[in-house]
Amino acid sequence: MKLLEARGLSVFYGDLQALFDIAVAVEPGQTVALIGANGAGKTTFLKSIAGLIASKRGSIAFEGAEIGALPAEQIARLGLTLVPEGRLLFQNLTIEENLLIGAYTGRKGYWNLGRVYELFPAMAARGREMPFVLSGGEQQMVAIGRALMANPRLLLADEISQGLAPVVVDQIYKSFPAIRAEGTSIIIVEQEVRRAAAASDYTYCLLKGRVTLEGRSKDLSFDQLSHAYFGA
Amino acid sequence: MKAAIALIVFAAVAAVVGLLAPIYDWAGGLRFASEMFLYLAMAQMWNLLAGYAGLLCMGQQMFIGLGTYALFYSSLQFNVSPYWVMPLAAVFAGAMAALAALFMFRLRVIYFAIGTWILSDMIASFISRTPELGGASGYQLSEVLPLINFDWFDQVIFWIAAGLAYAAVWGAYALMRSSIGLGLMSIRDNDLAAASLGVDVWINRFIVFVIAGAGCGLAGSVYFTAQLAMGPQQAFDPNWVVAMLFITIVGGIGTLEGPILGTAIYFALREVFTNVLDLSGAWYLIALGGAAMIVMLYAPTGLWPEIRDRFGIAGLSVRRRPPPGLIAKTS
Repeated sequence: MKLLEARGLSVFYGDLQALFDIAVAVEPGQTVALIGANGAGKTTFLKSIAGLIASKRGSIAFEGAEIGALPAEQIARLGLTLVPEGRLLFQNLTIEENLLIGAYTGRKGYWNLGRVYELFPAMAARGREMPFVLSGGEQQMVAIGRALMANPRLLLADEISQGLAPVVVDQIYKSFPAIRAEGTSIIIVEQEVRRAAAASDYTYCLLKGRVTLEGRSKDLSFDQLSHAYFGA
Repeated sequence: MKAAIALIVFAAVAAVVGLLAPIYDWAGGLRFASEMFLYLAMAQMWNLLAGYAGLLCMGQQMFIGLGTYALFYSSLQFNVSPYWVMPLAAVFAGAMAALAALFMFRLRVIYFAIGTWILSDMIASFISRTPELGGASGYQLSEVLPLINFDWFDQVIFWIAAGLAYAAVWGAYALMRSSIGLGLMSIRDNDLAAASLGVDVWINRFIVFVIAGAGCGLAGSVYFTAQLAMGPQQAFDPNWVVAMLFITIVGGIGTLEGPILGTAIYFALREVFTNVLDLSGAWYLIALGGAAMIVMLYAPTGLWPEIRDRFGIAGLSVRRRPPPGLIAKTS
């Protein structure tokens, strides 16, 4: 059984259609990359799966159960957790409180406060500080740690390298094998094609709300990808 | 640590003042203190709603009225002392809040404010047109007066009111330190991120709404027990929510100390305006509104946050604040 399977997914913002008949599947344990230019619909796709967009058509099955009509908090409780674009940390809560919110679903598993601090040792000493004192990369680590606290089956990582220095992005990507090792599948939304292909098993390319290319990441050539990416 | 010391000092001072007051045997002062404590309890409930749960409830007087009616009706009906049916006032008002939430929570922000206000007016109108519920003249506790010992009446009311105020402040503190509080504060910061982490916005708000309804119902029933009489006009008076709003906003909305400071200011102004300046009726309300506007212009978040930040007091903060230097660095 597939972990996540979206079929015929169309999403609307009022009269504007943002996604057209999307079909995306994630196998258990897989890392899937979702690439595409700005406005291709990557974030919209993740938000609609996470239950943050109500106006959609088509089917979304998570572990075989239809979740398309569920509100966000119930989807989160099933083990599907979003690391939102721009991180969206809770600015009036401490770093540790931010992480604790992640455990709100009460899902048991490998991840807890200690294990998150092990994964991102730089955070361990700073639990009582407020998020705004952190660098962008550190904030991203808190956002990922917060999502891991929910012990998700599937982690949706939206634009996690946005605005970060390459060396910091490397650090964050290095945490992925440890996350996968505990049985969590990942969807990475990424603008940088090479990095996404290297970190994933399977790639979907989106262009103007449609899937223009998909395949096993190592089978896709750079020419194919750039053609699908730009539509040229 | 600093917060813990502040808490202990605050509790100790409040307890000493509370313990001494009845010994003075100064009935007027005792009644005045009881009224202050009840207003504080109500304002703290409203602060939970508007300051933490994002529920701008302009009909909170409906729970004061419903609790009061529950107490008077059951006391007279079963011929029991009003003291014994006070818990019923809280339970009934809380249950009605749960019922109201099912409908009112469909309304967003300003619609919720207006919706609750109208609901309160509807209930008041319904009661004043229903002779079986006392009609427009309400109820008096005259039939159960023999059950009350009037040697101790003011003292007992005082102790109940003081206990209620303490319970409101510490209860709010405990609630905000709990996972419900953490959930509410995350919703206040970013409701989308909170929802996608499994925080149920609806149920968190529901819990707070029911608690606030029960608290106001209980406080209202104690207030009108002290009066020995009530009517729908007084019990469902919109001025109740105006007082709660004034106290919370002037004191500092979204802080637990705000309503304490706000209550002191509200009653100080009331005494000055009515007893010293001899203002009455509309002039008193105009003066009070003027004072509120001045505070809002100079300290939009209320007076307590101003004082706290100026003197670096930790107080009852449910957050762990960074040292002031860190705040300055980023601005």
